[in-house]
Amino acid sequence: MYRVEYQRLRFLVVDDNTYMRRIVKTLLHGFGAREVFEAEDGASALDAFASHYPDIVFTDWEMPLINGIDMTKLMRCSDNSVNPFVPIIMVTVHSERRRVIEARDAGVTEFLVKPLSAQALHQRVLNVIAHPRSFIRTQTFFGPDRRRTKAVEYNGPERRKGEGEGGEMIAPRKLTAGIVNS
Amino acid sequence: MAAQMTRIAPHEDVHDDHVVVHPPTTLRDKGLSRAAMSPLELAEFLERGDKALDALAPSFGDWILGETWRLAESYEVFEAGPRDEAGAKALFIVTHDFRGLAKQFGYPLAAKLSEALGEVLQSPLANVVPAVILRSHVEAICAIVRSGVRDETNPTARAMVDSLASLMAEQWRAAQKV
Repeated sequence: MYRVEYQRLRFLVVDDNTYMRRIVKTLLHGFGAREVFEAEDGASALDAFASHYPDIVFTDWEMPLINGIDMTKLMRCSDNSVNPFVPIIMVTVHSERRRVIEARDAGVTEFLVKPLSAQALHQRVLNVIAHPRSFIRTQTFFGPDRRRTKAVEYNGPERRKGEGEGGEMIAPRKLTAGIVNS
Repeated sequence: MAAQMTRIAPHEDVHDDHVVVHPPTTLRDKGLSRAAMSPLELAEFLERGDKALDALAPSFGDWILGETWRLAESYEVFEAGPRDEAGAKALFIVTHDFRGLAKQFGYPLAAKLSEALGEVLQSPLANVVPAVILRSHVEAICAIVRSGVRDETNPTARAMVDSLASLMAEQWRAAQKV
């Protein structure tokens, strides 16, 4: 089992409810985190994201003005995003399948359903750090690869063109530079 | 304090209709220790988180009680307003917040009622359902929390929840017929 060094990481917790922010913060501090920033809505989260460069973002779904889904899209796709690859963990009571899919399609990295537990939160943090996924960019999507596992028995059509079908692989090219904390 | 920033270009594989981007592994290098954690160490580590949360638990009752006032006030604003989408959305956000807290703090029946209320507020029914039914949901939520009912089998609270569920089901059925 890997050991997560919480004290080296910087977190941003976004929730319009002060008590939920406090619960997430308390768990993170309990695990040793020192730098936990807060924002009470999507708009102030974007400011905090640009100024604090968090390593991991926790966000609520339903918030006034800019909700967690729109905030995720802005962090991922905005031209001036300071880190489009930042792991985003959605913390919500929504547990329906369509909600999970909507969050995934917005670029959310992990989904954490309330009530929060120490174990579930740690598992998500461990997962985004120890098992980072590649990102996929299409005309309509940018976010962590939505295929978590390779389905060897999958017989359906390959919807991604040029991958895994013997198609010509264009030489990798560097398009943008990511910014990461050091 | 601003972080010291390093620009690292991600490696990219360009395909016909998509690009696979491999972000730098800086976060893994920064946040993961090479020293493995034994199952016993993991259990002790998780216990630290649980203990931190337990230390907050005595405040949960007061916190959610405060949220009942917020919910009741938001409902009054909604009922006094024009019953439009904006009003329903505003009340939905408070109701949804409440649902999360009720689940987190261990009030399952209050969470169930706020879920039912939230579903209606997010649907076209929001502006059709008689106010008395919506108000009854809010009042029942407040009563359950103020009475400290955390037990899902509490007969009085259970009867109230079931009765409101029947009323709401009738509204949904009626809406489907239209």
